[in-house]
Amino acid sequence: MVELTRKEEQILLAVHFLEDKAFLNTIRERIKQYSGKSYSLGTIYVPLNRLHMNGFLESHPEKMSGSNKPVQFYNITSMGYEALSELREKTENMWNGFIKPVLKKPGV
Amino acid sequence: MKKINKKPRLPFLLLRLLLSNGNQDHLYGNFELFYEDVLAEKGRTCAWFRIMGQILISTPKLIYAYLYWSFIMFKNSLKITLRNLKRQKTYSFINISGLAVGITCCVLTLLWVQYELSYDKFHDNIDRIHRVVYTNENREWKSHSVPGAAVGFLKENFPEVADAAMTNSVPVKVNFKEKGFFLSGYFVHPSFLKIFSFPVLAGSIEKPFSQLMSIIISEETAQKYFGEEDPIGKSIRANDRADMMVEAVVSIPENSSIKFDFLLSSRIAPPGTKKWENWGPQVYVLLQEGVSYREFNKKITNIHNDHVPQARKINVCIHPFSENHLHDFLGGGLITYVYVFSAMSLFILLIACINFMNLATGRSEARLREIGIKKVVGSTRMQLIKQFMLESILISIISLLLAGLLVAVLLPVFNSVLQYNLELHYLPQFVSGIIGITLITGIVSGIYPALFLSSFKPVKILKGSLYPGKSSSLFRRILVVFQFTTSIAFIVCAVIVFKQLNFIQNKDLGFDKEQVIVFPNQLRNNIKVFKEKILKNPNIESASAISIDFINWGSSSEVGWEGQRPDQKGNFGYNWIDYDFLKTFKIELTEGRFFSPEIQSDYKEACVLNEAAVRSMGMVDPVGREIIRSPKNPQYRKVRKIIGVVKDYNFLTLHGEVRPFCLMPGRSGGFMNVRINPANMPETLSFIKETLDKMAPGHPFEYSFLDEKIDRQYREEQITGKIIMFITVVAVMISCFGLFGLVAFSVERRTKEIGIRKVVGASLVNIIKLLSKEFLMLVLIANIIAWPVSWYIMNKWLQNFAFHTDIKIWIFILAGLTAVIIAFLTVIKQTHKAAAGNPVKSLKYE
Repeated sequence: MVELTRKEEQILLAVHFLEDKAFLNTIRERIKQYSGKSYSLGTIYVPLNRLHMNGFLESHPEKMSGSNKPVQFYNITSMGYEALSELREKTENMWNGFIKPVLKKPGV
Repeated sequence: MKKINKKPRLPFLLLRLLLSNGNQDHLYGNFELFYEDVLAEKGRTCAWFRIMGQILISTPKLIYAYLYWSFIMFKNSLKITLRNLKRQKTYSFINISGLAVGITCCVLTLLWVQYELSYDKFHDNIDRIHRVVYTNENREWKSHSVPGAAVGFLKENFPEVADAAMTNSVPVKVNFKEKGFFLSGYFVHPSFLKIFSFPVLAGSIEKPFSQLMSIIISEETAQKYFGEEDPIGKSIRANDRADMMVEAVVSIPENSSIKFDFLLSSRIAPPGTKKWENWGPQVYVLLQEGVSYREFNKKITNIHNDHVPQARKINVCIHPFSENHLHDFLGGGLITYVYVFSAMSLFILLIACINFMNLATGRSEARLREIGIKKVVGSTRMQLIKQFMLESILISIISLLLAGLLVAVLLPVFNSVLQYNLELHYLPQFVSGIIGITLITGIVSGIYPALFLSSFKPVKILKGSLYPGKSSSLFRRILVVFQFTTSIAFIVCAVIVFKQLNFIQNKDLGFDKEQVIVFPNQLRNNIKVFKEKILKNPNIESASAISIDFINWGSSSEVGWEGQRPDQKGNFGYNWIDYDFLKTFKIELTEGRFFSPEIQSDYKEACVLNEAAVRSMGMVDPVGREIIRSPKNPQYRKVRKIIGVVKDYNFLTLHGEVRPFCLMPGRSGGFMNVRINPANMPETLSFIKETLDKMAPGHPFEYSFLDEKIDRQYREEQITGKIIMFITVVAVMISCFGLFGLVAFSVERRTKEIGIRKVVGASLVNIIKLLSKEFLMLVLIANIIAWPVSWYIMNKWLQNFAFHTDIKIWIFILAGLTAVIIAFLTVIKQTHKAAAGNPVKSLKYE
């Protein structure tokens, strides 16, 4: 299974929660909302495209008011869901039993 | 309904530019939406800045995405292409080798051309250096040998001349540490080293020849005589008379037209070299920046006649030195060869490309299914074309690699055969030239097959009714005819060149060039004694000392005779020889007698002419008549009586007619020619050396063989011959490849037909005869075209020689027959494969 990068993970999650309103702009806004980072359209586009090419996302164009050209809407494929669950499992395994230690303050 | 507001022009123009490549078109809409949102929220100005910002920030990412995916697509295509190549091993191999050979030819030619073009370019001022040339009014003859006095005159009287220098050649015998050697060098003006930029290795040339008796030597000379020692300040004894101190050492690059062993100051040159009447030195002129030599020429046309009014009319002009090597002003020069060989290489590459096209389209059968399916699945024609182009470019690149290997292997052979010293310098022009050739080859060869293969209609493929008939193979046939025409023409040219070279080698030159050694000497008054001594050796047949090297001629000056008509001009070559001249060179006397030591008056008053001289005068009974040398110049006027006539002998190359010539006795024979019995040659040679040493200790013995010297005159032709033969082999080979492809294609088409014929009862021979008829016709047509073309070209080339072989008909027949036989063999091999197969299989073949 191809390893998902962090941005890809964020995008997939965004697409999932956006349901049928998932396209480049909305994905970007949601990520901004949740992680605080304001990425440019291009920055989101690169991993989004990779996910699409590797088969984790499928897309269809829809015409929207507000623009002359059709816009691509994305949905997660079954392969995409598999990758997500795998990622979640692995992460949970790694974090299992994590307790934040009490660190000594410097200078004490 | 939300209104779609007008978009600001600049940002979206940029966007369109950015997204115009690749599959990123759909992003346009996203950016529009972004703009709309910001516009609604924040207003026009803010929106403008925000959208601009977004576009600019996204730009690097978008570019990255585009490159990344192009790369992935490319890798895929590569994988497919390689797989295709592996599947069709034989044809890929033939294609690749054909192209590789073509590229190799081009590379080798490019190296050579580059080298020749680089001659003399190392001088800093090369653009302003010119050489003085004397011509007569109609430019019938031209001479680089001009009076040394022109140097001072030009420098003083013409502001356009920044500097001028003369070089006057002088052979000198030097002694260093009891060893004697002959060197050749020049008397030069000090400004010679300022005009020409020879790199200085030791010493200094700031003030050349500050001491009168100083000498500047070349790197080679320094190596030979001083080895590792520092030569500066050491002295060299010249001609047993003068001690010269070494002032500096310069290096002479390989690609220099001017080569010398040493330089001496012109102030110690014989005074005659500075007179206007004496022609001999080469004079070079450095023009000021921006001066055009053509304009300057108009000013100096008559300067010679101004100084020597009684001489015939001479036109003086200067010619750029940068063109010296290739466009020799005196005529000839290598530029023709540069053009010819470049043309030939490109030709070969063209043939290879044609081959490629033939083979690529010929095996289309195998690709049909692939093409059909791709089209059905939705591939556009453009995509298919791109894929095929990629294939051919890839094959081109692989051919380039193979060619690289071939060049590495062949270059040493090339260098040794042609006596060149070409190296692979990876200069940017060179490398880009090679890459350019490869890419162009790939593209040019790939276009036709790409268009052809991608044009198949899938329905037709699947139905099986593919080939529309003969029209598609007409192009193919023309290509094959073209290939064979060039091959046949090359074969004819190669044979004729070979014959001419042979002819030159073996033609009776009017003297016997075998078994004669030549060595320069400075025995002068001791020549007679020396000759007596060596003639005592039974292995030495005869010896003759002459003033000017046998394969050369002395400067001509005008000759007059009684009964001379005003329109007749006498221009004879001279040599001063001794009494054994005829015997040593075995030249025939046709009239009168030769010089005799017993007749005293012979020495000052007699002369012997050759038949050409007699013919040019139109004299009927020359023996006993007189000729007058320099009749118009009272200072040099001399009368000589003709005592005999010798048969014409070709001492210069066979390019020209035999020159009118005049022989006179002389005593200072600087060149000793000895005819030796071939048996025991090493002992005879050492005997001569010992005798020479005893008589003149430390005298150098640098001998060469006369026949080798004469052979070297034909170096150009020999090189041409070898190159042509090499190219012929290559051309024929590639044509065979081409025919191979054509036959394969044709056989493929007719598989069913062959199967049916076999079933009906045709024998193998019948089928082969049937299939080969088509090709033999093509070869015949090729012959018909090739014969006149090659005849015309060879005729022109042979005109270069006053003496040449004839073009006989058997040469053409031989070439034609060779082509037919080769074609036949190729055809048989292919058809045999098809015809011998199981007819059931071929009938099932669908």
